[in-house]
Amino acid sequence: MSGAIVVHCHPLAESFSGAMRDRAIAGLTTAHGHRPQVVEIGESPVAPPAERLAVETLVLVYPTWWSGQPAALSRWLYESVPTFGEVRRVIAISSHGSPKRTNLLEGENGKRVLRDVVLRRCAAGAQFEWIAFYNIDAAPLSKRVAFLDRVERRLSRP
Amino acid sequence: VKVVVVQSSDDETVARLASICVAAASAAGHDVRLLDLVGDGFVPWMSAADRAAYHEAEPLVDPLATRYAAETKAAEVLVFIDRAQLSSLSPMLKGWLEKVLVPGVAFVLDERTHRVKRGLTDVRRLVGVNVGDGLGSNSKRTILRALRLCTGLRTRPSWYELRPNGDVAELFGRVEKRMRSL
Repeated sequence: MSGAIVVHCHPLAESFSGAMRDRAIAGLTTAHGHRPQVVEIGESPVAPPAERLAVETLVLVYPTWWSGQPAALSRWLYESVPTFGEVRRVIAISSHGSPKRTNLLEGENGKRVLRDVVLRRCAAGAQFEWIAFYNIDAAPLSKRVAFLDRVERRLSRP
Repeated sequence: VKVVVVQSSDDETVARLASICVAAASAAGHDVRLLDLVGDGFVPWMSAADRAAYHEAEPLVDPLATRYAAETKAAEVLVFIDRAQLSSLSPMLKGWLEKVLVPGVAFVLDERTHRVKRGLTDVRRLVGVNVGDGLGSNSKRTILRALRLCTGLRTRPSWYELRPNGDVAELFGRVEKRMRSL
């Protein structure tokens, strides 16, 4: 089994998060030779997968709010996690308004729930990758562009 | 003392804990407001309109979130009663933080320095009561660490957790005692 799914959560049609999603899709398309499935969580949660999530790579793209996933993505994860048994790679791509030191003080709850709780419901030996952009509120355009390039590069690796 | 109790679920244990908090704090003479998110019909998902307004001068769009923000801004004691999901705040309570605790309410963003200034400076005690799932402490860190960055480090934290197979009656007793002696 191979293949990937990108789950993107942001209420606005145009956002930096949407740009992260697009570059993740581009990278995965290079890596796999075809476009990944995409689940879009906009203004409210969407239904979880009907049965097992038949992909090897699960990519979550979202802005970190209050040190964790947006509520609509939290709902999707809670309902979907029983279907993750075949997932071997979980990649989180997230922007943070505040600097990394603030997120450390807050406890990095979004990272922890994926690494310590969600990953354990995936296939045995599943890997976790954290691709984070901190302090976006203060970042100049050049840094934002560089981060998007990094996202595509990283996901284009098989 | 102005006490705001946020109840995120209508399940039996959470509802019972909320009524214990309201009754005990009221009996002790405090001014208690219950924010019953399910009963009030609160929608926890950030809409496009909510998000578009977030960095504007008037970031509150949802009328219910506006009312909750006014109550929270005036609070001296904040109490959160929740049932954890995947070790974290329930989506209902997490969405409440996202939609109610916006710039100008919980914090102020300095546009020049991009530093965050605390907004809930009247809060002198934060109380979390969590029906836990035994998977971790992300709920606790979100309330007592992330939120406390907005209230000040002098805010006294209290955390009460019901573990799976824990003693519900014992928790009810401890929470009641805390709320009588705020």
